[in-house]
Amino acid sequence: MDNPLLHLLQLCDPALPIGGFSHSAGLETYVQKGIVHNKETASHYLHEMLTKNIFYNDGAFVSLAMNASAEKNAEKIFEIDELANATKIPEEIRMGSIKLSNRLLKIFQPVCNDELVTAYQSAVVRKSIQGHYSVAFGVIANALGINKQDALVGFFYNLAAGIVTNSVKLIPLSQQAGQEILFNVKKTISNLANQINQIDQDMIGLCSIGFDIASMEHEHLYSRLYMS
Amino acid sequence: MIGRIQIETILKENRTVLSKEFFTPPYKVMNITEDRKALSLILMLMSSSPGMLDHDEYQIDIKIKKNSSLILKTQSYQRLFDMQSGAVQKTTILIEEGGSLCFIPHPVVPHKNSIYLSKNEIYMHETSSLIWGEILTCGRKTKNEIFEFSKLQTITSIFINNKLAIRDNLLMQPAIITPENIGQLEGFTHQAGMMLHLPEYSKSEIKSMIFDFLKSETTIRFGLSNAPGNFLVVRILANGAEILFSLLHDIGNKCQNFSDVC
Repeated sequence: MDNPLLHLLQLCDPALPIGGFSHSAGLETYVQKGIVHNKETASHYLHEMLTKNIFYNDGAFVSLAMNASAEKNAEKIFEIDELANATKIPEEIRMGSIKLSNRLLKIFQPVCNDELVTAYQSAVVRKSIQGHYSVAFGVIANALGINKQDALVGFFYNLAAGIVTNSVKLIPLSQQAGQEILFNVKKTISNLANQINQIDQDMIGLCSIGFDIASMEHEHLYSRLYMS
Repeated sequence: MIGRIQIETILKENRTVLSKEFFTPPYKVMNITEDRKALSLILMLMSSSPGMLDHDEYQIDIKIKKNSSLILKTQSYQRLFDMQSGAVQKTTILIEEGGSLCFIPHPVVPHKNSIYLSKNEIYMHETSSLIWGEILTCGRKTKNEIFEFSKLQTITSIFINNKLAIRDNLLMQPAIITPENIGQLEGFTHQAGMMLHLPEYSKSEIKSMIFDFLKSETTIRFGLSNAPGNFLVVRILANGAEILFSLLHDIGNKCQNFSDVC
């Protein structure tokens, strides 16, 4: 018998070989500029990234993709993917999301045996959509029978863990400081997952101009460890 | 007040001319084309009102027919006054094959408690050109009225061949998103965005030209990137509206070396 919790743990495992570790989404720019430089500033960065950016963007796309998957509406899923692509204006953020999605689909499509996951991957292969991480995550989570709130909590947690790992490496911070940041962000994550259904249509895809510019500046950093 | 503007341009004997024009108060449209032999038509949007009041709704519809070229200018800053429910501006633009539009309007100046939503929908063809700029300001900085408006939002959706290419959703709502914070304006007070679609010219050349131009400006922070749908997007943070307005126009003019659009 399928255990959705186990599926969720695998889907959100930071060690899942999809390359999540190679993207910093602009954090590397902030560290090089000295703006994110200790536990407090890293924690602030994480909080703002989750509540002002991911909540209205990738978090919302996971939620919408899960709703559309529950309705078995493939066309709607493709529309959400188009919207995700259209709102990811900085190239590195867009390409990073596409790469993660490709690898996530490669892992899960053969084992999911789900019509929508297969339809979504086929649409990516024939280039009628780009394929974005958050949308793929939502479609796969639905196929694995994961409850939407849990999937959202897992999604936010996975991104938060990635940001913390990157902060520990880039700043650097002690492992203990990193884990304390992660421990303390759990309440925020639960709140975000609970509030996501109430996001107004006009709030979806909000631009955070500072984060966008940091990602665009990353394209020109002299030395860099991360792809984005 | 409900204000409407409708403009349609066509190409006639290698010049762009107005084929339809309709406007209601407070708007007026004036043809300010100086070079009567030039391809582009230059129109000035004028308004007899000092700004937008609560419940005001403006609607702008522009059709740029095949191969015609329009440069649309504004006359002055538009103020947004104290509001309860808000003012709305809706702009719908169609740019047919080979057509082009350059529009870098003056910014709106949001007074205390103002609420403003601007929705732009641009439908274009892969061969159409666009130079589009917008500036969001913190309010009347000289009167120390900084981020005291309630909500300022601009949503620009650009469709290429009827497929959504870009959706830029800019929001400033100080009660829920602190403008000073990391990820937002980060200590700056003004932001600008520019979207460029110049399909006949090398995007990488335009990109390095803009990069070299902006990097000499020491008082701003900027980024530019290859955006979806073959667009180039520029984002700039600064501490005043005038510098942004002039930078966007300079970039628009520099693109002149690459195209006839501006």
